[in-house]
Amino acid sequence: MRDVRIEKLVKRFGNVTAVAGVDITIPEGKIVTLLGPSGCGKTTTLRCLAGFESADEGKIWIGDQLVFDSKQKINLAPQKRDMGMVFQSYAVWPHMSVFENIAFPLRIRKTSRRKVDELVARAMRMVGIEELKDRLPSEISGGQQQRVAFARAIVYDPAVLLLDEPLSNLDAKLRERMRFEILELQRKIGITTVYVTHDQEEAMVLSDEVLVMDCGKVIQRGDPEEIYFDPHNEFVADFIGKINFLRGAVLNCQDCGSIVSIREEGFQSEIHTTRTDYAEGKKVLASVRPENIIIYPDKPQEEVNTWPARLVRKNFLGGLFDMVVEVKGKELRCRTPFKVEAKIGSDVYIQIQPKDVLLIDIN
Amino acid sequence: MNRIMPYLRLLMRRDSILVIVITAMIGITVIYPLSIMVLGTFKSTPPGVPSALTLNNYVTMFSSDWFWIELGHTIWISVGGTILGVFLGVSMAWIVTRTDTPWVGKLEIPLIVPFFLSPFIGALAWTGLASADYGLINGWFQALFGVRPFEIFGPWGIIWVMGLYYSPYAFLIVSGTLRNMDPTLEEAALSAGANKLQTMLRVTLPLMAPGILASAILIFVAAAEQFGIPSVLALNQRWYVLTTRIFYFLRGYPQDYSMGATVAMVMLVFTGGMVFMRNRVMRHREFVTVGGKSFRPHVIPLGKWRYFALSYLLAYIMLSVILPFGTFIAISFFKFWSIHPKMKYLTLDNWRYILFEYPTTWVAVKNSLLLSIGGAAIAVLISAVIAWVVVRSKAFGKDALDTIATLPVAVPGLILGVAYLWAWIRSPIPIYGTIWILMIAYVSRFIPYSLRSIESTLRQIDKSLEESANISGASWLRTFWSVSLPLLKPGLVAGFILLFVTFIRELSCSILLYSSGSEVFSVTMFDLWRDGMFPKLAVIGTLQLFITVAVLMLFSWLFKIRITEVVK
Repeated sequence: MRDVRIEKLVKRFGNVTAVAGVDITIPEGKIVTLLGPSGCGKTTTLRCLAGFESADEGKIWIGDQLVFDSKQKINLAPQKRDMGMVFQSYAVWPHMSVFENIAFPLRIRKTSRRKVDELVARAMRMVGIEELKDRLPSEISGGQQQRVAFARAIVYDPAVLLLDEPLSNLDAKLRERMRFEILELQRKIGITTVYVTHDQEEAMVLSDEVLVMDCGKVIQRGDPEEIYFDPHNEFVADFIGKINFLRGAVLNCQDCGSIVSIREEGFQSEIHTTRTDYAEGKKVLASVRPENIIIYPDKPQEEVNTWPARLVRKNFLGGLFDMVVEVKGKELRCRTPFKVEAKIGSDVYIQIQPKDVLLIDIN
Repeated sequence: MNRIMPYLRLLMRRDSILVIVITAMIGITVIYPLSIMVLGTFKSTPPGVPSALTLNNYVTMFSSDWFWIELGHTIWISVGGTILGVFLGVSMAWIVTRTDTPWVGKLEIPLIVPFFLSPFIGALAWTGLASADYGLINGWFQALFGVRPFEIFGPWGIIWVMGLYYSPYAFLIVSGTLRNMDPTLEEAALSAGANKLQTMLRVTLPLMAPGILASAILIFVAAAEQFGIPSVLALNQRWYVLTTRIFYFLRGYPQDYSMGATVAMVMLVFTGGMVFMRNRVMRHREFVTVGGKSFRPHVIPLGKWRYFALSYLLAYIMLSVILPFGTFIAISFFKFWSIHPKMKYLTLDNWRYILFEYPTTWVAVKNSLLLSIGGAAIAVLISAVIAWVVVRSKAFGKDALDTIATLPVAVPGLILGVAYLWAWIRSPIPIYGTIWILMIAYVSRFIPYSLRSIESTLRQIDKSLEESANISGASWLRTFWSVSLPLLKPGLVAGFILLFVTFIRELSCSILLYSSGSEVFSVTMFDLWRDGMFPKLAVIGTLQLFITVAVLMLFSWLFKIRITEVVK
């Protein structure tokens, strides 16, 4: 059992509480993402885990070993936690060659020379930089430096791998490729991994489990699909992907579904949803993803959740159309991969299937 | 013809003409005099008197005892001063940037004050503290233990004073390196399993190495070419170094311009070699260690040692600023200074004499102010033009211009003085003996300093800022006035203040080039020192000190710039 467990972690900087009671369990061999906007406490959590910050409250276990406990005053130094870390800035030492950078952790561990050569060669092969062996960091590209940092973090086979926004300094194309490479590598060596990012797509691609953080708290956890299709609150729904909110209250709730009365300024109507188990009168946000709004040039036969609208904006993004329609003063974002013939300013109809209407509680 | 035309057109462009004009200017003010001096080393007659060329000067010098002894002295004090200066500077930089020593924030400015002070005055002041005859500290020891343990005169005193006043160079360079170092570089070592000591030895120290090496070479060159300190602390003791020997040849009896030039030639080759070496070293070893996210560097808790570290910093400020300069000012109010200064010798006579009777005082004040403010302004202006041409234009030969303009860094002030004597003492251009020869010497010798500060500011200003002014309709003049100049201001002001402070205390160039009517502060003090009028020279020194502080305060208020920004 080499799970990583963080219990009731609190970290304050002066008056600011950066981490406000976080509980996280990372099962052995899994990759868990801390996702959130900047200032949400994800990096601080990671740095507490690494041992660079000492938390004010809480406990941290790596396997059976208690590495941090505020009460017992246990705080294991970073170098004793057996973790590997890849930094956003890569932190590749400029005065050492690629080989020496990767060999450093092994040299610290007094590994025999033969073994160092072998392990470094393997790590370099794994990240695909064998040919850069004798180069200096100043002579290689950012992407290559990133691979060096990665090789350096895994070469000594640590128990846990920490990744602090490792891709955010790369260009878009490379970033996309590296996501898959990191995932593949993680699967190959089966290392327990904590990944910090603000990029939701990255989190979706990479994670066994996503923890969405805001204001120092984990506000939802789950696998990527859960997070996307069943956001528990407005913040998660809005942060992950794009979404339209319609403010309202539950009018009628039965086993087969419910009806929500929409109370937006100007736009007052009823919307059907397949969601159940809501108390009547409860204030909710009826939420619809842009790709779930269907646009018709003429009035469709089905009348449930169908409204006349006006096309306000239409952008072709290559592969899909991104549009804004207006329903009685309320603007809704829609997306579709199919060709839309309607012109800007023309009248259209929109329709939403009841199963695509999510209900989110208003706090 | 068709082949040459594009080159001709390139030469005729406005910026190319600037390159030619500036290069010619530096040629006349630096390269021409140095060449005349080099020629002089092969002559047996004074400047302006023709003679056959001969190697006799070199033969005499290299076969003499004094040359080798004094070369040894120069190396001795330079190595000693460098070791002490680097040790003090690096240790203080580390304490200030990386430990939890209390008050370090407040101490940072006091710690760099010695950078702005004149090491020449520092040496004079330290005689009042640690001379075996009349040093105050010896007086305290005498009273307590019955011994006088210190003697500032001689090589160890020179090393001490150099170490104190050159350590800010190392402090500034190394603390900059430490502060800008990406903390994740150290964190990466920790998370890779290295402990704090291993991290320090294998990551932090190697990353500091270029900075330490650069400051060591800088201090070594400054110490080797230093004239004021060894002249105060060893000239009367007939303990010579190369610079004081050169002075002896040119201003002693019998005068020997040729031998002076020959020794100067040795110094020139030496400092030139060091500067060249430094550039080679820096080019290959300058690391960009500035990272993305900026977390504060790891602060090492010192525990009880915090107060030891604090006392260390305070002791440095005490020994480099408060004690010597306090003593120096105090001396100006005493009739005599001794190991036990007596109240009954307190007097205002020195001040009365210097302010109202000594004829040179106001000449020196006027000249020093003209040279330091006017000279700094001219140098900054020329540097700004050079910087602009080098960084922004596509002018033909701009890289050569950069190299040539930086060349004077390798020429010690005293050696430039020797060269100017050779070139202009008998020249038909009536410049020798006027204040203008000092002006030209100052400006051309120190342009590299302001140039560097302005060039680095200009490089940081993205070209697109100027281009967007152009595209929105501003002429190049308007762009320069409304966009480039305001953005450049910090660099210009920094360059100006740096040169002002340097010029107002300049000694080694001036000592050979001044004559009656063109005295400046430091040569006046030098003369009074040689006449044994310590309390009176202390008045001049105090005046210089107060004027420097007043102008600095005026400027930092006028341009809303903090003095600490100047030295970055």
